[in-house]
Amino acid sequence: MMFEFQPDNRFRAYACKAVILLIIPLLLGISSEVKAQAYNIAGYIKEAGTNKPLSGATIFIQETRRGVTTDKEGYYLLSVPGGTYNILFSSVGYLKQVKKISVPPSLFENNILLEPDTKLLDEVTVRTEAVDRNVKKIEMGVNQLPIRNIKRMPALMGEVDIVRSLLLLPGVSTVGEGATGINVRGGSIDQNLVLLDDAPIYNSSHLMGFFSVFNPDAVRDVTLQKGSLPSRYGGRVSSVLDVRTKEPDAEKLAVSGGIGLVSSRLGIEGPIGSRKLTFLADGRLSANNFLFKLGPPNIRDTRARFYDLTTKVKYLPNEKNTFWVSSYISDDFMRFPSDSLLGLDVNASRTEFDYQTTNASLKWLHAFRDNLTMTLTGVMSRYASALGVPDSTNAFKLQSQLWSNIAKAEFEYQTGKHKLSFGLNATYYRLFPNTLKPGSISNVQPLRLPEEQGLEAALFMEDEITISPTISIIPGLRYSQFLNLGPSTVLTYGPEGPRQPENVTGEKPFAAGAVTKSYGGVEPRLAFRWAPQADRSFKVSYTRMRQYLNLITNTTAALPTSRWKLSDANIRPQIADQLSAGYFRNFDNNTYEASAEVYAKNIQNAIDYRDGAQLLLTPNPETEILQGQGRAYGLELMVKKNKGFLNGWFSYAYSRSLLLINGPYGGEKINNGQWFPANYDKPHTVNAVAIYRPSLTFSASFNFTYSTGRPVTVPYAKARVNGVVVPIYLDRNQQRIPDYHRLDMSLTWEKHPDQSKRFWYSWVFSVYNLYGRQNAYSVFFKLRSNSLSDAYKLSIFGAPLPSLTYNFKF
Amino acid sequence: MKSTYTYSIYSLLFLLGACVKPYNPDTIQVGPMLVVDGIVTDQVGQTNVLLTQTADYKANSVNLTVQKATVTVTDNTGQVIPFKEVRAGYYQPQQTGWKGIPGRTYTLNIATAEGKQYRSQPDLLKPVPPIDTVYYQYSRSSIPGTEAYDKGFDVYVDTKDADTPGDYYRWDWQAFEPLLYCEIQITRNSRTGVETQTPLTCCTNCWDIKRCYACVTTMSDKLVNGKKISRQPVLRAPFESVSKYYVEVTQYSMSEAAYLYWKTVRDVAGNTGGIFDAAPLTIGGNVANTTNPDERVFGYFGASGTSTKAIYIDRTKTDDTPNLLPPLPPLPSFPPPCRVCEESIYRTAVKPRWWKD
Repeated sequence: MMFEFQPDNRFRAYACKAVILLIIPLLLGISSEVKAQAYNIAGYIKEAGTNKPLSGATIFIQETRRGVTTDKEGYYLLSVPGGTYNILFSSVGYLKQVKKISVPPSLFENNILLEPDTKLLDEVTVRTEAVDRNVKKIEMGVNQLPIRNIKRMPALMGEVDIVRSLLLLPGVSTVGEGATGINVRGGSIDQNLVLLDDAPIYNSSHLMGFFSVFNPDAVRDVTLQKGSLPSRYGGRVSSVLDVRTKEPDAEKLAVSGGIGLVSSRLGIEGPIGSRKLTFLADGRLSANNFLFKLGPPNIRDTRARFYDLTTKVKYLPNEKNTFWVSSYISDDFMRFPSDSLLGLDVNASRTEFDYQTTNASLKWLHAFRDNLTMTLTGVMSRYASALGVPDSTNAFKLQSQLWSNIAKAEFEYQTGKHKLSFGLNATYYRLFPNTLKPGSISNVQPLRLPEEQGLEAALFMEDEITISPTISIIPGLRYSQFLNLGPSTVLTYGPEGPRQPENVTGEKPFAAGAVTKSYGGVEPRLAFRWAPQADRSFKVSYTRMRQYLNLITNTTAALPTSRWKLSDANIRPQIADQLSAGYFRNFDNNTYEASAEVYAKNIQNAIDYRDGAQLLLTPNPETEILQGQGRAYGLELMVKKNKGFLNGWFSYAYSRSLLLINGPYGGEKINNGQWFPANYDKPHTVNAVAIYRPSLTFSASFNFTYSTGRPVTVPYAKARVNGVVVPIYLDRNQQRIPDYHRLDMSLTWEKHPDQSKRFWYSWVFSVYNLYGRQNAYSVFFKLRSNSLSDAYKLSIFGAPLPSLTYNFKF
Repeated sequence: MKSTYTYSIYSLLFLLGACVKPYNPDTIQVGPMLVVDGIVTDQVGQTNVLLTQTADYKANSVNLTVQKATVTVTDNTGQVIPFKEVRAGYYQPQQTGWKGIPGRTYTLNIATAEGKQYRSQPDLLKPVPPIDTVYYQYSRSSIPGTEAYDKGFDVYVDTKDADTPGDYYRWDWQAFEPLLYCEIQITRNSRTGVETQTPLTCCTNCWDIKRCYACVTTMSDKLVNGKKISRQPVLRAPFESVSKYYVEVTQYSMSEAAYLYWKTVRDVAGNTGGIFDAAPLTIGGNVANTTNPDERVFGYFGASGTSTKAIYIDRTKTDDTPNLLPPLPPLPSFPPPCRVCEESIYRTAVKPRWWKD
């Protein structure tokens, strides 16, 4: 759990030290030896109407000139000597409230609902973070998007999409409009740790890659950390995408939903019996098979459907303990008519994809003292994917599963100028790579790749030290260790030749639970901030990360069935070092914020593949994988307007991502052992987002994006082989597809908030690709004797794509 | 990942306003490189080596042959089989009745007229199990965006895989269509612009040889070892006439290296560069310059056991009507002189082996 200062306070003239002492997160409970006569005032601060918890809201005792801020759940706790106080509750963008409170007795449910400041000026303020967080936070490369803003942005086919909206941030890109995952600062998609309420999400896309798996109704906020990573995160070398679901409404039962072109949503939340026990459940369903039946004959057999269900139960037995039980289930099914599965040497007339995520987590937050808290988390996560062919004699199903069980303990302790957090984290992986199961009368032979097991454990600690009002530093250290566990058979390869089956020199079996290979090491983290003035700061950070689990796929965009692989005796973990620096400046009373960040990243053991690698069914992927060096560097500029009728941002990013694969043998070099651009290397990106909200009932938003085309491999020559004309490719990724640009628009009408309170609705009309640019999704080559041109450009959203969505809540 | 998914996924996308347009990328020019296409089989008359060169990607033709090279094949017993150039760039054993012997390995040696020396890796000639059955099934499907139907006969092969693992197969086919006319002369009246077609009959029996150059059908026994390989599709015979369709299907054994090479050729020829396609790859091969191993040489010289089986497709036994081709012009009352049926890879006067008149 993370807590936020209201850092403004630190620069006020009064008792700086005392304030820091009191800006203690979750002041749950009080140790009696410190304050024998103290009484508690505690509760939640929420937005009136929506009951959204307000984090970072200020609770200020006017008499004592002391205050605290609320935590991420909107919770606060004050301890005061007996007496009567005027307490001011405030949060940026909301009307202040002053309440006269007398203690004793202690008040544990002093919940406050703050009315949004209906002055339009503040209505559109970015609210879930302090306005000057940009300058005040020590970390950098952190982008937080509140769901409220995401919902205002134009959505593809009306589907509010968290992952897609991240693409408008500098340093975040994708290889194509329908591709799964995101590429952050020149990293591959599996280098991002994606968490939904602490549970890992291994495939963040529905329907191959068009929509993200996060239900916008269930999400409270999204944080993408691409620069300095707190030491509690590890296991991936690029970034952490932390998606948090909202806290259930404790006041009343509420139902919300929406009807859209692609999917429809329904959610319910509220208390169960008492306010101590609350729950939420949000579901989404897409069943559009009828659309395909209307289509041309060759796609009538196509099927595509998905659903997901996000649930959370929160139990607050007393002020010292909070429990959360969360679960997430998602399921996708697709069927494509297809002639054959070339990759598997089986003949088929249809191909089915089927994949599920099933996650459950339990979290316990306990406060030992007012400055020491503990969070225990247990997570079970399963990702399963299958590719099947229903034809009788060649029927089969290719299935794979990735299980991860995570246990985590984290402590936070605050004293004086220090905010210390430490803990440990262990993940046990069980990986069932592809298993080929024939149908009952099928001639296909069953195949089972050996199961993989691994344990990743880490100890971490960091200390946020406020050296002076202008200088703060977070030194952190993480030690991670990975054990690849038996049962398995490890092959050794002779050093005299390439790592190919003919060079196997030995085979060593390992018993169940035996350690076949161990990797590990320290991962130093450092973040430094110097703020010469309140409205500007310089930051520097260094982060080292190790990754022991990789998605191995040699296609430009990953498929849901792409294979996961743990590091083992022959595949070394990736290790990344990132150094970044930035300058942050806010203007005009935090109305405008500007930032410039530079970063440089080096990756050891970066992964690429041999020419024509076949990865799905090989028991020894190390014979297909090549490891080398990766490097990425770039510059990210951003100007953001936070207040006013019109707000939004403009960003420019220059980023490069290069690979060097230079093994000692012929097939182990790519492009003759020279640096070459990675598939997702897109040097220039420009994004602009504008949200205009002239009244409470209407808003319009636009976004524009431009980026350099991604690299592509083009043929250098052609040859005739056995009468077949084939293109001759020599070097990878030496050309680029055409540049990408697009403008989207969204118009939202919602019910005036002052009208009868119970039922709320909105209509959202959006147009994706407003000017109908035919962006290249891919460029491909097809030799045809009867056609002059043999290079083709495929555009998938080649025309403006309008959509209408209806949302409600009561 | 694979082009067929790609196609299907794309077809889903077309609902969303997707479109494909020709596109002109910048091209890179590289000099010509040697392409070797050679095979030794255990049947008479099938052994041959074709030497060509690569062409610029945008060039219109790919017919740069390598002529006047000295080509020999050696086997593991030390026997040397000299080859002769029978057509431009096309070499066959000098001894016409020569055939490979199962169990031996064969190596190709080339010396070009410019004096460059090339040698292939040795390749083992494995015997191939015979084709069990060749059978066919009629099917039709609508052609998207038109009123027309794709009508044809899918031809399948069943065979029994050997019990040992590591067997690899390739299939190809040749259909023979008897010709009524060896040539149709078109004369154009320069004043009226009217074209007249004058058919010229063949002097002897003559057949057109049809094959699919872009189809590479391969299979590994990895998933079916020792069992029956069933319903292996080999070709789709068009339904454009109700006459019988004669086709010979050949099954080849090959080494793992050859299988990987053919798989690569198929993947490369299939389509590539799409977002779900693997990174495009170089076809490579097993031939190298003996003095300069860095020189890029493409193509494969392999040894195969072969088994051929013919089938007549009875195209009358469907309830459907054929997509008839335009009718041939009638024979004039005064027939012009006949034309010789010229032997080539597209035409032959030699009666096919299992042809029944």
